[in-house]
Amino acid sequence: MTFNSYTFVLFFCVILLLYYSTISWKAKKAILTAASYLFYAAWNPPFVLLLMLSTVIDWYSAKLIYMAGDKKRKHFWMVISVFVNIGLLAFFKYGNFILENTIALLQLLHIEFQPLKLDIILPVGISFYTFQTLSYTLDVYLKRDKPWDNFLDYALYVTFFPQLVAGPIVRSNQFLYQCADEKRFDPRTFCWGAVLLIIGIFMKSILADAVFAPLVEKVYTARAHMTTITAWAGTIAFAGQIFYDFSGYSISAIGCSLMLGFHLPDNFRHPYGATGFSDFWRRWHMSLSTWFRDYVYIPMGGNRGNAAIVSRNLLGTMLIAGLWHGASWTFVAWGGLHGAYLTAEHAFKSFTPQKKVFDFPKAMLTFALVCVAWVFFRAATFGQAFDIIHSMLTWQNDPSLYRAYFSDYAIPMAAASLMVLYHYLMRKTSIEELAERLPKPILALILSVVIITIIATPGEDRAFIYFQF
Amino acid sequence: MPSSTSNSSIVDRKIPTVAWKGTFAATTLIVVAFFAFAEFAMRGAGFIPSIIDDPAMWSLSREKIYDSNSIVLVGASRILIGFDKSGFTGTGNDSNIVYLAVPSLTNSFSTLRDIADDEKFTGTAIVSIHKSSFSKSTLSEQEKYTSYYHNEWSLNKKLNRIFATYFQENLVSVQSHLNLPRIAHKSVGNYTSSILAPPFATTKNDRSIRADYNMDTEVIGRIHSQHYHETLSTIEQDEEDKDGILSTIDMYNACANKIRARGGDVIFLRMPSGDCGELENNSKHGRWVFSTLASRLDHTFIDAYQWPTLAAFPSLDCSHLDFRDSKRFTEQLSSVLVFLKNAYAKQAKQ
Repeated sequence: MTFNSYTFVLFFCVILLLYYSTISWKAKKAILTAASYLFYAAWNPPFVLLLMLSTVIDWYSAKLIYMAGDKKRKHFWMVISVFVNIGLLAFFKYGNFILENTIALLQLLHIEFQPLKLDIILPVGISFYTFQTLSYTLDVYLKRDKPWDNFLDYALYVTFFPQLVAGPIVRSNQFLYQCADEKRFDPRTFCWGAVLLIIGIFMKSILADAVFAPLVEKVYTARAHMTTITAWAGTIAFAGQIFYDFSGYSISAIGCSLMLGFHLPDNFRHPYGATGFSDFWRRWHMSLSTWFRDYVYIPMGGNRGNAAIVSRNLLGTMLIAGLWHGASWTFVAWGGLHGAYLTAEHAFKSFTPQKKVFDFPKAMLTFALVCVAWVFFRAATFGQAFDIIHSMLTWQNDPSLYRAYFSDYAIPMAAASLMVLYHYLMRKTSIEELAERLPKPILALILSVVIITIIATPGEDRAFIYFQF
Repeated sequence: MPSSTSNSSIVDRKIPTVAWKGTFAATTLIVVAFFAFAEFAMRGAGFIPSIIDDPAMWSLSREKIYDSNSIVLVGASRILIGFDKSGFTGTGNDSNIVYLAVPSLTNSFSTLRDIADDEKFTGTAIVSIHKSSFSKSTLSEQEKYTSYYHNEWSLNKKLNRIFATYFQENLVSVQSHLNLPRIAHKSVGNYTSSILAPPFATTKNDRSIRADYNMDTEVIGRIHSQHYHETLSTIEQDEEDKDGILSTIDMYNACANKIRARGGDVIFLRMPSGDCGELENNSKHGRWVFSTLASRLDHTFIDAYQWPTLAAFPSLDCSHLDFRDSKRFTEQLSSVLVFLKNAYAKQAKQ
C-alpha cells in the first residue's frame, strides 16, 4: 500500500492507536515490527520470506564477524552476507538482464542458446532493504560499530515500514540507538510529522502525478517527430516528476516516522539548486549517495591518488549506482554520464569560478546537464534516448505543434520554473526553518490548500517511480 | 564524490516550534468549511456524484464476469453510454450486466482477447465495434487495463478502490471537477466546456455513463462539429489497409470462437452514431468495412443501421446516445436479440 491511499490511512490510524495505547516499549516495537511485515505483505505476501531471510542472515553474519578470532573468518562471514544480499538482487532484479545479455553475447560468438524464459517478479523494495542490511554487516566488519544485542530492535530496523520499500536507506547507527530509548507521545514531533506526511502526499499525488506526469508520458510515448522545445519540455517535466515522486515518498516516510517518534535522515536537500555535480550528489538521494561513497567509492580509493585513479573511482562508482537503479543499459549510461560529469568537475575544479555571482548560472548549467542525463533514465531504449537528445541539442522547429500543445506545456513548465527557483533560493535553508518563520495563519492556509487539493484531486493510480528499483 | 560531511550518525532534525494546536484547528476548520460549502454549492449548480473511472474500477468489474448469466459489455464509450441495463430484457432471465468497456480507448480487442483467454468466462459478450476497431495500429489500446488487472490488481488496491468509490458516489466535491491542476490546464487551453458548468457525462458505480446532451447545447454543438470533421477527414484513411482489416477481423473471430466453444456467446454490435454513422454509410470504405464485417464475422453482428428501430435514435454529439434514449435503445436491442435468437433456433430446427 502507498502513503497516498485510503488503505494506508486506515492502516496507519490503527497502528497509531495501538502504538500509543500500549504501555510497554517492547510491545510497541513488536507492534511496529508486525505492522511492517503486514505492510510488506500487502505488496506480495510470499516475499515476506525474502525479507525475513535477509534479516536473519545478516543478524547472524554480523555476530559471527564480530566474534571471529581471525581476519579470515571475519572475511568469510562478510562474504556470506554479501553473497546472500547481492545474490538476492542478482536473481530477482538482474536475472532476466543477465540472461538476455548472455544470450546476446553468445549470439555474437555464433552460439545459439535458448533457455527457458524466467518469469521473475521483482520484490518491491529489495534494492533498499538489502543495501540497508548489508550496511549493518559492513559497519561491523569495518569496525565502525558493534552488532546490536536486541533482535527485535534489529528486525524493526530492517523492516520499519515507513522506509522499507523506497528508503531513505538508514544506517544502523542512525536507527538502532533510537530503539534503546522509549518513545513517548510528543505533540510537537507528532504534528510536524503529520505536516511532512501531508506535504509528501501532495508532492507525489499533485505535483508528480497530476502536474508533470501527463506531459512526460505524452513526450516519451510520442512516435512522431519531436521539436527541440517538446524534447526539453518533456525532459524538464520528468526532472520534476521524478523529484516530486521520490522526495514526496521520502518526506512522507520521514513524516510517518516522526509521528511514531523515530527520526530518519533527510534524503533530498533542494537538489535542483546545486551549483555543481558534487553539490548535486550531496543533495539528491543522499542516503544512497552516502552509501555508495562509504562502501564503494572510499574502499576503491576515493579522492586519494592521481587524476586517473580518482576518475576511475568516480566513474566506477557511478556506473554501479546506475545499475542499482535498474536492470538496463540505459540506467548504466545515466550513471556513467554522471560519473563523467563528476570526473570533469574534479579535473577542472581549479578553473571553476567560485564567486557567488556565478552561483545562479552554475546552478542552471548543472540543472540543464542533469536533465540531459535524465533522458537516459526515462527513455525505454538507447534509440529513443538519442532521438530525444538529438532534438534537444539541434534546433527542430514546428510552430503548429506549439499551438496544439501549449496547454500541455504551460502548467508543467510554469511549475518547473518555480521548482528550480525554489530549490535555488532554499538551497542553504530547510523546510523546518521556513515553517518556523511563517506566521501561523499563513501556515494554516497553506496546509488547508494542500489538503483540499489532495482530496479534490483523485487521480490515476500511479506507482512511485522508485518502487521499480 | 561528495565529502564525508553529510552523513551524521545521529539524525539531528530540527522540529519547528509552532503553535500546532491552533494551526491544525484552523486548518481543519478551513478544510471542512470548504468542502461543506463546495458540496452545497455544486449540488445547487446541478452537479451530481460521478465515479472517477480508472483501471482499478475496471478491475472491480472484471472480477464480476463469471456468472453463467453474465452479459459483458465490451467496447468504448458508445456502449457505456448507450446501454442501460434497466432496459435489457434480452434473455428473459436475470442477467448480470457487467460494463467492461473503456471510455476513450476505442479498440476493444485487448479486452475481448482477455475474456476469451479466461477459461472461467462462459457468459455472453456484447462487443461494440466501429470502423476503427479493426485498425492494427490500435489493437492494444485497452491493454493498459487488462495488464493492470493481471499484474497490479491486489486486495489492497481493491479495498482502496472500494473506499474511493464510496466517497465518489456520495460526494460531488471529491470528483475531479475541483481538480486544481485540471482547472489550471483548462484555463490556459482552448476547451469546449466551461470550468464551472457541471459535466454532461457522469459515471455510475457500475461504470455505465449517463450523458445528458441537453445540458449545454452550445458545447454539444461544438463537440458534434469536432466529431463530424474528424470522421470526415479519416473516412477513407484506412482504404489501403484492407488486408490488415481482414486479418484483424479473423483475430476477433478467433477470440469469439474460444468463448463459444466453452458455451458462451459473442454478439458484435455497431451502435448508432447519428450524422457520423451516416457519413460512414455513405462512404465507399465505410460500406466496404461494414459489409465485410457482416459477411466475415462468424458470430451475430447487429449493425444498428440495418434495423430501423435501432437506427432511429439520434446522436446529438455525432457519436453517443443521450441518457433519455439509452433505456429505449436497450429495450429495442433486447427485442432484436430475442428475434435473432428465435430465428436461429428455427433455422437450426430446419
